[in-house]
Parts: sequence; C-alpha cells; structure tokens
Amino acid sequence: MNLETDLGGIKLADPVVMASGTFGYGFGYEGLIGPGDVGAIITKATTREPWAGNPPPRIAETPCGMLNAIGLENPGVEVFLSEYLPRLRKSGAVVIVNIAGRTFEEYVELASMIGTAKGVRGIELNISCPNVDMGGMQLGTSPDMVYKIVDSVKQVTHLPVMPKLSPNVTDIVEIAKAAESAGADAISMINTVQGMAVDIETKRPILGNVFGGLSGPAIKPIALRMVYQVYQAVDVPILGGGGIMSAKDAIEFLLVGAKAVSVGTGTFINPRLAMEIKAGIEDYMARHGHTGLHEIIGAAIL
Amino acid sequence: MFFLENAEIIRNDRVADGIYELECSASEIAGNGDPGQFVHMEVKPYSVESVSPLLRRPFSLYGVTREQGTISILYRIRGKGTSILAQVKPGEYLSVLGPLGRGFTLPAEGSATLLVGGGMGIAPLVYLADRLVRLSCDVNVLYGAETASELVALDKLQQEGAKCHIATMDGSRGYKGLVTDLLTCISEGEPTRMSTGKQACTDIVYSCGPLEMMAHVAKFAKERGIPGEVSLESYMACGVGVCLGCALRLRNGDASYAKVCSDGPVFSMAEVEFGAGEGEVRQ
Repeated sequence: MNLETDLGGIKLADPVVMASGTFGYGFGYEGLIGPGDVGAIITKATTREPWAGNPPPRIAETPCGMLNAIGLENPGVEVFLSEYLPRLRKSGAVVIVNIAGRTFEEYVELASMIGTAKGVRGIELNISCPNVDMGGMQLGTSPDMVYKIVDSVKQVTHLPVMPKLSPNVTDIVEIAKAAESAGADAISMINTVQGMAVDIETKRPILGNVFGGLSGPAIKPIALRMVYQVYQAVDVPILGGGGIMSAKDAIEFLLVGAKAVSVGTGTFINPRLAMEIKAGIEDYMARHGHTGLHEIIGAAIL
Repeated sequence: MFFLENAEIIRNDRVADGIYELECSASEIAGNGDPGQFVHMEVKPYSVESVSPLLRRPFSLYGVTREQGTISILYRIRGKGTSILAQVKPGEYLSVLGPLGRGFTLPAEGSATLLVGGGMGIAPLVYLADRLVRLSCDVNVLYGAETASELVALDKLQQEGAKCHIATMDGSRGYKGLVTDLLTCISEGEPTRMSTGKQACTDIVYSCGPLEMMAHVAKFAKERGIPGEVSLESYMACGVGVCLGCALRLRNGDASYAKVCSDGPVFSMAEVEFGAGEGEVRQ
C-alpha cells in the first residue's frame, strides 16, 4: 500500500501533517511522537523579530472546540534558525516553516532567509491568523493582497510556497484562485474561525484579546465544505484540515479533495493522534481495496 | 520525560460536598512524578467516544504510591469537566498524560519547612509533605478551608507526619479566619521552632491556593528573607509547552510570558509579582 503524496513539490511519505502552532518545533511530545513519525511538520509561526503574543487568558473551551488567541508568540527567525531548525534537520523530518509578518516586506525577508536555510522543504504563509492587529488575517482576506504577497514571496525563494487560508471570508474560492494565479504551489486550509466567549459572572469577554480563533471538531463541517469548493476551483494540491480527531475525519478531507491532512487541536487531546490516523487510513484503504491515496482523493466530489 | 497512560480508576470518592478524590493505576507516572508536578487527564472514560468536553484537564499530583503504581488527585466540581469526572466509576479507564511541569525544589535533609495551603490548593502540598517527611524535614502545614468538612486532606497530612495548624473561615475547626493569619502567630513564636520574632527558623516556604493567600505568604517570606515557592494554575490546552495557551506575566513589565505548564506550575516566590497588573498574576 502506498501512502505517499505530494504538496506542490513537497514529497510526503504519508499524508498526515502536524499543523502550525500545535506541535511547537517538533519535540514537545518527545517520547510519544516526534517530527519523524509524521508526514511533515509545520513549525510554529516565525516572525522577523520576537513577538510576545497576547495577554492572557489566551484559551477558552467552547462546545466541541476551543478558542485561542495566542497572538503568534515566538522567539523570531534568528532563534528559529540557530536553535530549532538544526535539531529538526537532524531528525530527518519533512519541515515546512510557517512565516508571519506585519508587512509584505517582512514576509519577503523571512521567505528569503528561510529559503536559504538547509533542511526546509517548504514555506507555509500565515495570512490567516485572526489574533494579530496587523498582518495575519488582514493580508489573507482580500484576493488582491493574497496575490501580491504570494507573488512577492515566490520571487525570492525556490521552495514550494503554500499560503494558509482564512475561513473568515465571503468567498474562499476567489482567495484560493488568487493564490494559485500568483504561483502558490499548494494551499493549506483552513485556519481558525474567528469567534469569542463571554463570562456572564464578570460580564466580560473571556479572552484577553477579546476575539480568538475557533478550532476543533466544531469547525470540521466548515472546513470540509471549503475544501470541497476549492478543490473544484484550483489545480494546486490542498492540505486540508480543521477539527480532525480521527482517521475517519481525515479520510473525509481526502475524499473532498485534500492531498494531505493537517492535525492540530486533536494532538492536545491525543498526542499520538497523527500516527493513529496514518494507521487508520491504511486500514480503510485495505478494507476498500485501494492501493494508493490518489484512488480516494476527491472521490466524494459530486 | 512524560507518559501517556490508560489508567484504571481504583476509586473516585466524594470526600466532602462537591469535593472528590480520584485514585488510578498509572505506574509510569507514579514512578516518575515529583511533588508539584501535574497530570493532564481526560475527564471522560476512554471507552466513551465523545468530543465534549474537548480538552484534557490539569490536576496536581495529590498522592503517589510508587510501590503500587498509583496516583491520586483531589478536585472540586467547578464546571462541566469536573462534573463529568465525578461520574467516573472504579474499573473505568481514563487517559492520563504526565508527569508534567516543573515541581517543587526539595530542600536539604532535615530542613525546617512551612507549607501554606488553602482549599484545593492543599493537593500538591500533601504529596510534597510526604516527600519532605521522608527527607527528615520538620514539616509544618498551615491549612485553611471554608469549613471543617472541607479539610479533606487533614488525615492524610497527619498520617504522613506533618504538623498541621488549621484555620476555617467559619471557625468550625481551628482558628477562625484566614489561614494567613496563622503566619503572624508563627512569626510571634507560637507553633514553636518555626520562627521567633523576626528571626526566621524556617528554611523554605511552599504555598498553593487562592492568589490573595499566596500573595500574603510570599510577602511574609520576603520580609523575613525566607526562600519560597508557589504553585500556580491556568487554563491549558496542550500541557506540554507547545501551544503557549497558559501564558502568565510573572512580573509587571516583563517582556515575555511564562507558561504555567512548562515553566511552572511551581515558581519561585521571587519570580512572581502578585497583583502585577492586567492579565497577570493578579489578586
């Protein structure tokens, strides 16, 4: 059985990818699951300078989901390159680096720095974080801006570039088309759905940032619908995810057109989820007589 | 090093109104968990396929029996997660991740130690007291609760060999009022050997409970030049330091946030500025 897949030039031995921000730099769950145990890891968002992140509380549980407003806390690209990347490189993992910035120039500078670093297989452009004032989602909700940022980044790197799209848009298809026409090699979707929670005793929003991003099983139907739509509108491969908690969930994403799946919040509940999903996909394929992933990718599209 | 164990519930007893003690088999965690560390556990049985509540819940280690490979936690029903946990029956299995976080720093053998706990905050101090007694330390515990029936850890502390001084808000047992009032008695020389006047005979202070209480204990310790540690809490998602959700600004003006799960939950009193400001370690 062959679980190999490809995300716009990023070759994966299996289709299960650790989503950015939920697996740190690959070694947080050492002993239970490491970066080499999965198809690929997407590192925590890296910015040009260190970012402190948002004031707490940063998380709140909601029905079948959670809100987060971390605010892209990270030590900056220089620390990433000197302290985290060397260890990841040694592990032999497929490393995709998520980058974020406040301006176009920051994305371009980051992409060129990451592009010359050894051991990176692709760049995920974070143009969809709902929890930062500038950059993030503001850059990912207009087709023109998405075109411009993907185009600018493509000009400075030979690595495959994969923008991560926000679901907080009127029409995700037009955003995906803009990314494709600017030369995106793949599309990652979806980031979190913007939401909030209120404490009725204090009569205040729960999150320090007021708004946060909803993840977990609550958003899976939204994510599936969006992958289904985008798959039919673009030719570039899709990394699909949103609320995946089981092999069954992951297979649903493959069936609506994802070439690989990302596991995020589910890892917090079951750290070994990604490995269990890989085994579950194998069982499913055996049970249905499939020998390659291409036989199921997009099979549910009517 | 931490482990993911499918832990069989041995007991999950109601020990006071709304307060439960849960003991389960988790041999790796029992063999490796130190006082002040915590476990991050699912509150619904392993066999129940449900995504609600979604996240694990963190609990400090309350008791560890290494020989039997069991651990226990103490909890009060506070919300959906703990009310579901209270329904779990012996023989069922829960997924437990641990031991996690940075625990208490243990003193030299024979040290004079003072532990100040309020409410559910007594939990990590009970396991700590056990370890301190084994280190031949003098262990004095100031234990505060709303009422006598909520002094659920008292027997265990006394069995361990700790000297307990009680305060209840309603006066149903021990001193009537705040447990921190007992600190003054101590500094005036009352329960002996701890300190006399301003001169401290306590080598180290440990505290866990309401923030106001810990702030008071920290101030007391600082004024007397006694080192100390507090165990803090936060909502958490991952429990292992990857999600950065349990951020806490320890001191006013700090540029970065500490993570309760991986930098703590135990912090040096000197690191923490209580009541620092918005979104921080405030009272």
